[in-house]
Amino acid sequence: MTELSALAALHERCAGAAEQTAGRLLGMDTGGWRGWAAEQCERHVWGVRGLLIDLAAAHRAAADGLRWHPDVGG
Amino acid sequence: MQSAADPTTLDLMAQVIEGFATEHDELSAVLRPSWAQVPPHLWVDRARASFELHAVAAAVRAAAAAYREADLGVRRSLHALAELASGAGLLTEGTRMPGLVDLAPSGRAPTSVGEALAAVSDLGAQQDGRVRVVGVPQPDHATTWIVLIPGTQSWEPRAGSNPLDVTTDLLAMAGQWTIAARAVAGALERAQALAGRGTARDPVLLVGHSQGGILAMALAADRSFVARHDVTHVVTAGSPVAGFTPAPTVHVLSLEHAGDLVPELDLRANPGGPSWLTIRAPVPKGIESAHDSRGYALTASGLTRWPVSADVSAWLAGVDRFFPTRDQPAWISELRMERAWQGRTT
Repeated sequence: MTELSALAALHERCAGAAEQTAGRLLGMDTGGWRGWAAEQCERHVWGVRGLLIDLAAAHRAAADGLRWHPDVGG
Repeated sequence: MQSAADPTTLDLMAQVIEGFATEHDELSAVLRPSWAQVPPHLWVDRARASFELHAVAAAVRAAAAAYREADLGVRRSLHALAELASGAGLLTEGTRMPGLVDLAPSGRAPTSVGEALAAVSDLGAQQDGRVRVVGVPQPDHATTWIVLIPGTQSWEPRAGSNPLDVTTDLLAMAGQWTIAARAVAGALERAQALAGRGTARDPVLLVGHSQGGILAMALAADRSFVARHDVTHVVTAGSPVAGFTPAPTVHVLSLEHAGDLVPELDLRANPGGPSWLTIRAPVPKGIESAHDSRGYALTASGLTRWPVSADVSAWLAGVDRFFPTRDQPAWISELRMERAWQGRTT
């Protein structure tokens, strides 16, 4: 595995963890202000997941010697 | 089924994210592809990802800390309010004692959780502080006991003879032991004495609406009570009970209607976990108030009619033995609870 592939795998793992966390936050009780606080965290986690997925795709593309553009996809 | 947004779960989640953030830091430092291989923006984005992972962990941890502070704050505020009011002779039970008066039963033994909550609603409509205890003999010579506890009946700030009042609401939510809780315990023990049965091994199901649910949870969390009685199940309907920690062997089912503000009074969601299920449900059709005990009885009846999740089914199967079948006898006791002056015979 090249360093770029290893970095892509790392970002995929982190994105998976972020997705799992977001799922658990989404499954939390949404009643009252507690729900609001959990929702804020959930939005933040989804944002980070998106960044990690883009990074994974970009590293994967770089490993394959391709140029990757976020608008086109990995 | 939704899990509760409790601080411990959030802390664990923060810990997991921090683990990934650290792994991200460490591997990013070690894996250094050449500049030629990687477009410059990826270096920047990778540093940002690391920063964001730490930031998310910190945000989740901050939410957990805020929840903890709020939980403590509710109890502190209630204590302070109770002290302030007691200085004015309000919301205090003084030196009064629990009293019990035997009554003729006004209803039959329930055969389901829905019927149990309907009976709680009927007891509450009588507005006289009565509770009902139902004992059902089992084939293994034990007896199962159901205790039905209605909600608040008096909103007078000065404690009167009916302990199902706002004084009990405040004291019980502040975690203090109340005459009402002692009277409910006494009612169970009186019913057992009248039936000539009752041991510490007999399973007990406590069912309460609103304040009745608070009292049920106060008893399920009381070491002395659970040492005398094997409380296996509790049903609360529209009750703010998240602040109680019942014994680990107690299985709790909490029903909360959308728009019912009463279960929100503790400003926190009930803890989740396999032994405490909280069901949030819409107010049934034809019921105007989200807190109405009749609405909760309808919601509970729906649990046995509509498809429910496996954990709710398992919970309901666990309480089946409390409800008598058609040919099973049952002892029914009804008692009026009182705040009595010391020395007064009731």
